[in-house]
Amino acid sequence: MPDTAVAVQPLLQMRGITKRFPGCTALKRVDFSVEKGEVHALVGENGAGKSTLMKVLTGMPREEGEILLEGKSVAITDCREAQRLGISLVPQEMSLAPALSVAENVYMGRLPSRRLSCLVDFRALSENAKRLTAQLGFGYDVRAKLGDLSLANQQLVAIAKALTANPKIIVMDEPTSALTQREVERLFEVIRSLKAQGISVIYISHVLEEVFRIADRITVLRDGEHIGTVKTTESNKLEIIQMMVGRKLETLFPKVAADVGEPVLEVRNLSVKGRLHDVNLAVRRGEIVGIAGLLGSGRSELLRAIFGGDLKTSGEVFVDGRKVEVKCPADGIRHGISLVPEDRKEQGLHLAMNVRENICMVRSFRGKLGRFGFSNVAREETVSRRYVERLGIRLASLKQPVGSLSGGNQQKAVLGKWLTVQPKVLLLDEPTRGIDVGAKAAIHALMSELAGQGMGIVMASSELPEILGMSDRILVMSKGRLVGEVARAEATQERLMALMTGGGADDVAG
Amino acid sequence: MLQGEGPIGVADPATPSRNWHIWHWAKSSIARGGLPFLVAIVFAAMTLITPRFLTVDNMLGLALEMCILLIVACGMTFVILTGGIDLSVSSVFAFSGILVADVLRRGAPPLVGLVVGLLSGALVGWTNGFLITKGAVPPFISTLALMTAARGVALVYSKGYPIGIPIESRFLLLGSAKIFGIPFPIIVALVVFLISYVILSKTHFGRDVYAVGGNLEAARLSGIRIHTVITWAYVLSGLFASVGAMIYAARLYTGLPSAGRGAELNAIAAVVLGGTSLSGGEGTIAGTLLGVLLMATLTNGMVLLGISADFQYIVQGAVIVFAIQFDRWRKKYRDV
Repeated sequence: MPDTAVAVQPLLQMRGITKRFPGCTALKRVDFSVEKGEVHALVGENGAGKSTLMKVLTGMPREEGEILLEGKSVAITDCREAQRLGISLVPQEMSLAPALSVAENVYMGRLPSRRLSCLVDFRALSENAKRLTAQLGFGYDVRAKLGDLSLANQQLVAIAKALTANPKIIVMDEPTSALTQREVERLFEVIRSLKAQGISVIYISHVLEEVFRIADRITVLRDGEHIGTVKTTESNKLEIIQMMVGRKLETLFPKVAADVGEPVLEVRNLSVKGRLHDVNLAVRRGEIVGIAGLLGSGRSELLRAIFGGDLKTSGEVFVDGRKVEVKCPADGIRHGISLVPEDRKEQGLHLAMNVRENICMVRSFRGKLGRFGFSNVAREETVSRRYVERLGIRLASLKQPVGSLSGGNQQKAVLGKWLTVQPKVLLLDEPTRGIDVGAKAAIHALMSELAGQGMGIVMASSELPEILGMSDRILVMSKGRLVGEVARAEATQERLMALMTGGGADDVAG
Repeated sequence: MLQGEGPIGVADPATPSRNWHIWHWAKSSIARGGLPFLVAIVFAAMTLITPRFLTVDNMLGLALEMCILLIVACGMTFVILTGGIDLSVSSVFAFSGILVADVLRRGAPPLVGLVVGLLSGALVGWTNGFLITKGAVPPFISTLALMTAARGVALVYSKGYPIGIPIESRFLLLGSAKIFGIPFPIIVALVVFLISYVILSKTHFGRDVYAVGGNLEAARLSGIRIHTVITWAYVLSGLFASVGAMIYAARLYTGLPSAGRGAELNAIAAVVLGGTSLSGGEGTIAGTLLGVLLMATLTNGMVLLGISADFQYIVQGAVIVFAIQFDRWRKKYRDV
C-alpha cells in the first residue's frame, strides 16, 4: 500500500467492545475494524463471540466501547438504525417468509407504493427486485414463491434484501453452512462483485478453507477476546487454528484408565437421509469415545440415530454383539442404550415437573416401580433420592420443579434420569455445555467412574479440551461423515481442528 | 358479580393507612386462596343477593346443571393437558344421542344402548387421535373436521328429526333415578371426576399425559409412546362426552341431532378457568371442577335474578377474560 500523507480512516471501527450476559462476559474489550471494499473474516470456535460482536454492531446494547463509522462515533440502537447508517446483516438463520414471493421478501418492510395510496405498487416491486437480483446473477422469476427455491437461492435473496438498504457493509453470518460446494462458488462470485462495487463484507465462518479463499483479512476471537487480526496472504491455516484454540489443556479432566473389554456397541453403515453418511464405529466396555466436529457436522444426529431418536435410513446397530432393531427411543432404552441429549431444556427435562418425576421419567423404568399401571410415589422417591445423592444434585426438595435448579444440577438430573435404566451404552451429547466448573468436574468424574464399571460411553462435544481430556479415542466428523480417528496419545487441538475444518491433518503437519 | 371486590376497591393502596393494611391483607389472601377463593366470593355474593340461591332445591338444581359440563370438561382436561384441543365433543352429543335413541327405539335393552353410546363416543375420540398422531393433522383441524362430520352423520341418520326413547325403557333412569335422594347424573359426574383424578394423579398414563404436554420431545426421548398417550386422551374425551350425551338424552327422553351445540366451548372455558394451560403440561382436574363450579354458579345466579339468557353470554365472556387475568396476576403476586 502506497504511503500517503493523509491517514486513511477505516470504514468501520469498533473499539473496546464489552458485552456481558448474566453469568458470563461474552466480549472483553474487543477491537475490530473494516476497510472499505474489504472482505474481513471473523473466525473462532462456537461461543467465541463472533455472532455477539455482530449483534452489537447491529444494535444490541453493550456495556462498554464505541463504534465509529467513517471516523465518526455513531450510536446504533437497533437494526433499522444500523441499516440507515449502511450496515446490513444477512442472519445465520433465514429470517425470510417462505410463503411470500421473492420480490416481496427482498423488499419486506419497504414495499414500494404509489403516491397517496396504501396499496403496494407491484409493478415497481417486480422491476426493482428484478434489477437487484439480476446483479447477483439470480435467474429466477421474482414472483416465484420463496419456499420453492433451493437454500442457495434463498441465501441470495437474503443478500438481495440486505442490498436494498444500499449498505456500505454487509455482515454474513455463516452463509455457507447450508450450501453445497457449487453453491458456495456462486456465493463467492457474488461476494467478489460486491467487493468490486466498494461494499465491505464481514464474513463469519469457521470453515477455514473458505475463509482463506475469500477473505482479505482474518480476525480471530476466542472466549470473547480479540486474539489477533492478520492478512490472509501473510498467514496460514495452522497459525489461525493455533490462535483459535490457544488455551492450554485444562487439568480438569480426570479420565482414569479403565480396563477396556469386549465391544459393547457397534454401528455399521449408519445413514440418515441428508444428515449422516455411512458411519461405522465400535465402542468397547470401559471405553470413552469422543466425537469431535463443528456445529452441523452430524455429531448429534449420529447419537440420536443410534438411540432411536431419529429414524435411520440404513445401517445396523449391535449391542453386545447382537443385532438390535432400534426404531424409536423405547427400543434403544430396551436394548441398554441411554442418550443424554444436547439441549437439556428442550429435550432432556420437563421443566415444570418436579425432580422426582424427572428422574423417574424413563417409561420402562417408571413402569417397573409401580404395579397395574399405578405409579408408586414412595419407591420413586427412594430411587430419586439415591440418584440425587450419588450425583450430588443440590436441591431443597424432591418436589421442587426441576426448572428451578441451576444449570449444572439440571444436567445432573438428566444424567440421573438416564442412569436409572442402567444402560450398557451411554451416549452423551454436550454433557457439560453451559454449566459451572464444579458441576463439570463432577460429571467428568462420574463418566470415569461409569467407564470403570464397564459402561461404554460415547461423548459428543464442541469443547475440544473436554474431548481431549476425557476420550480414550476420538472420532472426528465433518458434513455427516466420519473423517478421522485419532488415538488419545496422538490427539492435539490443532490436529482435531484441522480435521474438523475440512483440511487434512497432513496440511497442518506440513 | 364482582361484589366481592367491593370492600377491597374502596381502600386507597397509595396511603399506608389502616385501609392499606386491609388492602394488602386482602390481596395476599386472594393470591394465596386463588380460584377456590374466587368461587367462594361468587358463592357468597349470590347468597347475599338472592335468598333463593342457597336452598337445598337450588343447590341440587345447580349440581344437576353442572354435571354434564363437568363430565365433558374432565375429558377435555386430558386433551388440553397433552397440549391439544377437542372441538368434537359437542357433536358427540348428537352422534351418540341419536345412535342410542335409535337402538333403544328398536327395542334394545338399556345395557346395549349404554354400550353403543360409549363405543360411539370412543370411536369419535379414536378417530381424532388417529388423525392427529398418524395423520399429523393439527388437533384443532382434525377435531373441527370430526365436529362437523359427526354432526352430519347424526343429521343424515335421523333425517333431522329427534328420535324418542321409549318411555318404558329403563335407560331413562340414567337421567331420573335417585340414590339416597341424590340424582343419578350427579353420582355419574362424581364418578367420572374421581376416575379422572385417579388416572391423572396416580397412574403412569396420567404422568405420561403431563409429560407429553409439558415437553413432547423430552417425553418421546424418554421412551413414552407419545402417539398412544395422545390417542388415549382423545378416546377418553370422546368417551366422557358420550356419557354426558346419554345423560342429556335420558333427561330429554330424546336423541336430538342438534344436541350439544356450543358444549365444546363451555368445556374448554371451564378447563382454562380451572388453571390448565392451553399449551399443555400444567393443570389439575380439581381446577377443572372449580372452573365448572364458577361457570355454573354464575349461570344459576343469573337465572335466579331473572337476567336474560342473551345477557348471560356477555357476562360469561367477561368472566372468562377476568378469571384468566386474575390467575396471571395471582401467579405474579405469589411469586414475588
